[in-house]
Amino acid sequence: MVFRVTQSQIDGKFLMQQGIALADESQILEKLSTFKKVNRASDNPGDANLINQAKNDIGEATGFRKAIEATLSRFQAVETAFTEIRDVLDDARELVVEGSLSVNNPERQTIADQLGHYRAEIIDRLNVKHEGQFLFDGTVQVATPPFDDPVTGAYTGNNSLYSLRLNAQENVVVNWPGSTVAFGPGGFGSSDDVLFLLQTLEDAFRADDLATIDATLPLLAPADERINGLIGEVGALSGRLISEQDHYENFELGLREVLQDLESADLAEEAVYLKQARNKVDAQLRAQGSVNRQSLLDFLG
Amino acid sequence: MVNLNTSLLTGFSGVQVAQVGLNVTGNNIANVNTEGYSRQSADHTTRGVLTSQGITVGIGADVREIMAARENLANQLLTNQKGRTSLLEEHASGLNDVESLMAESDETGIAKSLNELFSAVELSVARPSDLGTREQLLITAEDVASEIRARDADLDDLQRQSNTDIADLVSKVNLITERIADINRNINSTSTPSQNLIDDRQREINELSKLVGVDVFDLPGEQVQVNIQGANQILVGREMRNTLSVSTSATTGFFDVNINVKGTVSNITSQITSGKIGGKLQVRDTEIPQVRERLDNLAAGLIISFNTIHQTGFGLNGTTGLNFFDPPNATVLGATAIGTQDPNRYDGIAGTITLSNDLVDPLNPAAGFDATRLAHSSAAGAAGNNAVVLQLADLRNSTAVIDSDRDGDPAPDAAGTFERYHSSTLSMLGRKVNTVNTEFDTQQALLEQAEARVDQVSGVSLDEEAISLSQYQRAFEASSRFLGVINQLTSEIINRLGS
Repeated sequence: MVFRVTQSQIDGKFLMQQGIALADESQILEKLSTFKKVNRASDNPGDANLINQAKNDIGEATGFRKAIEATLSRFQAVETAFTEIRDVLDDARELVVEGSLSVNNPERQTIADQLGHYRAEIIDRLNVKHEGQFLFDGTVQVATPPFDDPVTGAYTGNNSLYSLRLNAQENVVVNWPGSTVAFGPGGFGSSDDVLFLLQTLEDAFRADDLATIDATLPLLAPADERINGLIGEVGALSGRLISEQDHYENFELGLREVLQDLESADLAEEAVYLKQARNKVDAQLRAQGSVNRQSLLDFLG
Repeated sequence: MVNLNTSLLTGFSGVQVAQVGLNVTGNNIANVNTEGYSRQSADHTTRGVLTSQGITVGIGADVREIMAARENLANQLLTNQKGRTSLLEEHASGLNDVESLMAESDETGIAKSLNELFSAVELSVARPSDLGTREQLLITAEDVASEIRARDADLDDLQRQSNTDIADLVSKVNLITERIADINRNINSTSTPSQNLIDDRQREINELSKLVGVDVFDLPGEQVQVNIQGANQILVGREMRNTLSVSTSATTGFFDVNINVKGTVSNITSQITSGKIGGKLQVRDTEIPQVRERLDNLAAGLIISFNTIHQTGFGLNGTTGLNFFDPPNATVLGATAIGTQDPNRYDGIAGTITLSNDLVDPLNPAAGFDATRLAHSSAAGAAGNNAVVLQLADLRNSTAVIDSDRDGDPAPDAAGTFERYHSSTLSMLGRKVNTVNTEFDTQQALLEQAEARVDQVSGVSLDEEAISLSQYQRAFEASSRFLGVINQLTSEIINRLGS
């Protein structure tokens, strides 16, 4: 079958094909200028969805990681405070042991003074601040230190705990109310109460009350152990948080690589495509230029 | 009786026929680039015969009529393809606009602001009483609200622009149908209508099809009836025309397209499924509302879930019962009870979402949002308590926050988290744009084929016209030569009479 081919048919086809070729070229140029092969969802709906998911996951991981970072920085302060309290308690214990063997009254007065200093030191550590907030006031966030009364050692914070999200499913408690640290499970004025024990010993040394010293001295060891336990608790939790932090760092890194694969344009590949697209446009223009030049009319007359 | 005078007339008819042929060829060449022009040709016929002494001799040629190479089927196919192409072009263009308006970048967008909001919430979990972290939370929450509002406002503008365009296009339809009716009348008024008129009418029909998509039916006497495609609505008929008009719909607030038939106005909006108007209607009434509906669902989800939790908490200054986002109630007035689907339940909420005015200190409104009023704590006077902000953080992973079926209960819908829901809005839109763009590319090829088909029948080929030119030139020269011979013979006889 013979088809009639007219100039407008040729022109129409050329314009359509050239439009497609120019659109391809423009898309490649966009990829080269943004370095991204998916600039909008319609470029590749499947990959665009994965890219959005990856970005969401990165955002979530970053959120968790930053919250963990903030908590870890507080944990360092908590751990330092606990360690110092334990060290002071150790020193106090040593002093009490030495003092209990001493018969010299003025020496006992000095020991009592020293115990008073140790007690004040522990209160200082219990009143320590981090980022402008008291570390051991529970959740009450008081304006004045939670252990503001040096005589009674009373606690003005609360016993509430608060948690941090480790991931979407798991929360962990990340605070130690001052009462837990200072008073232990027995509570204020109990045999677990570090401040009470030191106050009792101080008073006993001042009063030369050997019976009380002998009765109280053995209680310092469990108190010391309890603080040690708290240090271990903070250390273990810090370890867990650091491990989660590492996990999120690695996870983010992995996701960023996935994102890179999904999103980033291969510049060399795109440059080749651009060359191909330009060749196509050039060939179309050259071909159309030659088609337009001649018809039978040019050969008549 | 055949004589020299008769021969002169015979030769003259040859010159005349060649002259007409040359004119027709010249006209074809002149219209080589005229869109919709149908190649014309002179239909030649013998002029008649003279019989003398038992001998019958022809007395020349005549032009019976000027014909146009035209195939109705090909033209109808082209008209349909133009309507479909315009529909897809408008649909694709509108969807591309919607996608551009919803585009996310590394710097801006709803997804990014949602991500930053939840990161700020997460940090508030770790530092519930820290004012800097609280300020950051306020800023990011305001960003989310403002991004959603901005996207909704942009989509609203686009929807209104489409609506205005529809009114303009309807006016153009009326102008074109008026011209078609005029041409119909002119064709009807003459027994042998000019081929140019028929071409003009076809051109107008094709233009009309681009706007509204039409079916064309041939009527006797070179008349045509033009209907709205796929609908039994006549735009132009025999000696009649029905106009289109627009009126504002009481339910949508947008224009309905009406047809006015003998004073009766009928709403035919749903019957227009082709042409630019069809495309505009699809973008205005389907595509944009679908995206806005999802934005409304997202905004309503944020308002309801954040407010429900935030109201239970206590701020640093002891305030409680405060909303996080405004409006406090995301549900439109008069919505059905929870458990019953109401498609309009959250209509327009994306355009109004803001950070709640409850977070502004009423005693010092000039200071703006007050970070101390953010209720992170579950107990009064416990600034370090993060139980409430912890619940807000949990919302990031909750899949029971979007009420996609609009029955007031998001829990069973499992529409995904806020971020996933928005991601799926974008990828759904991307898939649609991709599909419609592909359909449009395919349709362009079909249109090109339909144009080629018409061109194959009706188009002007300069090579063919060169042949015709040459043929008529030769015929003209031969007839002139014949006239010269007869003239010479006649002169010779006349001259001899005098000698």
